Amino acid sequence: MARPFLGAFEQLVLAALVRLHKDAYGMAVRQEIAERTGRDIAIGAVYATLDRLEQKGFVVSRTGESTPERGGKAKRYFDLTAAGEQALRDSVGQLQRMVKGLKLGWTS
Amino acid sequence: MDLMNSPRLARGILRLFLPRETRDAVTGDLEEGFARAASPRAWYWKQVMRSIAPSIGMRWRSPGVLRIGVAAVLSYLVLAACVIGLEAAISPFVDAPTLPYILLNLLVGTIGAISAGSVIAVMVPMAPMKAVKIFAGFLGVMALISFAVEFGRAPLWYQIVLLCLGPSAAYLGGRLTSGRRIASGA
Repeated sequence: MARPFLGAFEQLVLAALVRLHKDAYGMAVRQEIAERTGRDIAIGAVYATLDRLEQKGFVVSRTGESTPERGGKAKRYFDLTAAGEQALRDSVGQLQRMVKGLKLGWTS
Repeated sequence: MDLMNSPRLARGILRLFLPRETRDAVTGDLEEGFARAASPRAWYWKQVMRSIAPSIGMRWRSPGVLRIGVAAVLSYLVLAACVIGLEAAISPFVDAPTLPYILLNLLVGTIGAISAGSVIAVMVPMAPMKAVKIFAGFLGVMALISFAVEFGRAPLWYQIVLLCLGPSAAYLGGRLTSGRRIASGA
């Protein structure tokens, strides 16, 4: 079976999960991406990507605690699977091989 | 900032589009963001509006009402196309409702139902047999309605065979297709 590829945003989300470790839930992932990339992402887009990654077997979800700040709604945490870690590693490796040796200003 | 201050209308709109299993997590996250945002109400509304399209995408990817409903309608159109196509093709050559016509009608209806079951299994790959069973049930209901409407006008044996054959053929089509996809690793 062909190895599945990650989209650009999927890579960002998986990398955020690695950084957040056990504290990765929707809003935290969104914030991590916003702080590191400057991108203002809709929370729905984060969950849609996490949902897609879960269907691919790259993440698993678990229900967390609810708090008064969240209106009593429980958090949904996401953890990277071994397959997800491998997919991210492959994806980063591909990009590194692609840009290796390239100099900045190559279009000028 | 408590739940009562976040825009209820915006929250209600988003909950309509979100899949059931994600609603609480997403709206809970939005409450957190609302509590921290500089312009909370504007931020909340912007997040909701931008989250509608991804939410519909999530619903489409889950084997829920939206996906199964659209798949069932398309599958039923496949079945109808087969049966209507047959009637157009054979009516110049075979008189209705003679026995050869009825048998051909059942044959093509069966092929149509197998095709329709196959279509729905392809369209709902995440839960093909769930969708096929719902569709077979729907065909059974349609056959019952036809039985009631056509009672006395069509041969009884034909009505009973149709009642049994349609749903079974759709189930078979779905089963064959989902089994083939599992075997090929799709």
